[in-house]
Amino acid sequence: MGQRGSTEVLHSTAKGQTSYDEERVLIQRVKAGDYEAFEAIFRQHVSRVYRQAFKLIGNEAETEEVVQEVFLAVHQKVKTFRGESAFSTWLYRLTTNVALSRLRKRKRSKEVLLDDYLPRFHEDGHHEVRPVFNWGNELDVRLEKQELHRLIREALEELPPVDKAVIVSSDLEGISNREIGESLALSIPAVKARLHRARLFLRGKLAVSLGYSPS
Amino acid sequence: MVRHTSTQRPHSKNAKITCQQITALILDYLTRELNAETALAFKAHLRKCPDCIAFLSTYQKTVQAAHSLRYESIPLEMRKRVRQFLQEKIKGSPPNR
Repeated sequence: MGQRGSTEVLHSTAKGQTSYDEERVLIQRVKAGDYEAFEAIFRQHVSRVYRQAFKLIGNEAETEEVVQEVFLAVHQKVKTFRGESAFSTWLYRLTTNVALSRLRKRKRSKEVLLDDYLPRFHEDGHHEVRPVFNWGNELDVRLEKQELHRLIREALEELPPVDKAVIVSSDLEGISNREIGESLALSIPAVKARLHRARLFLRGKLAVSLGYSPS
Repeated sequence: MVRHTSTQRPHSKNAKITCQQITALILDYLTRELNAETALAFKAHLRKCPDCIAFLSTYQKTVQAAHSLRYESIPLEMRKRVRQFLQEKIKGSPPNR
């Protein structure tokens, strides 16, 4: 997987982005109560925070509230940022946790049984439904890109919050398993297990949408 | 409960692994985190199992499809509203235009 890691923002001065040193100075100014510096941080990161939150939340109205909450938390908690990680990493964790907290409070409209979309096997370890069809190429032929993306977004909505946060962080954001684990207080094996299960679920949903067995 | 995927067990040269074990090892296979012996057994299984080749292919296609999702930037009006909200909350006054 390509790693579009959270630290890359800091090293690019193209497109008017601040350098690592400039950002460190800005953060010191925010800590000292400089509101202009806070607004500079806001301008620098709001798009990324919005996109990250939207991927988890899935609708604009709630995402707006999450973005508000994240930047309020930045203002309130920036003194606890000691610079041991990149600021963008700290902000990524903050955004994940604010969004996750909101997802956990949501009443899930319908309980989807993940197991219904996971592969099944016979006792001897063979696939339960054989042959397994390779429907990969059919995705592009039978589904418009928009339809494919709608299916994936809907499937993501059906995942438990932590599983959703893991797959969004990994496969949509390109965050490393180690960073995801640190953000969500999970061990790396636990991150990988959740990521694998979420991918299998998505795979199962896509298979079913094309008329094949998830197994 | 989530079952961990990294169920790498030592495999002898001729050890066989099942389709179920292959499925559990896919993530580590794709990130090249399998130990050498397990990777060999994995590849040996793939060479003679069209079901697992198909399964692996559709797994990879799923990851690619998720990776291809695109998201819009924050709408300008929302950005203005959030900025105003923050200024009012933090400074108690609306932002200067």
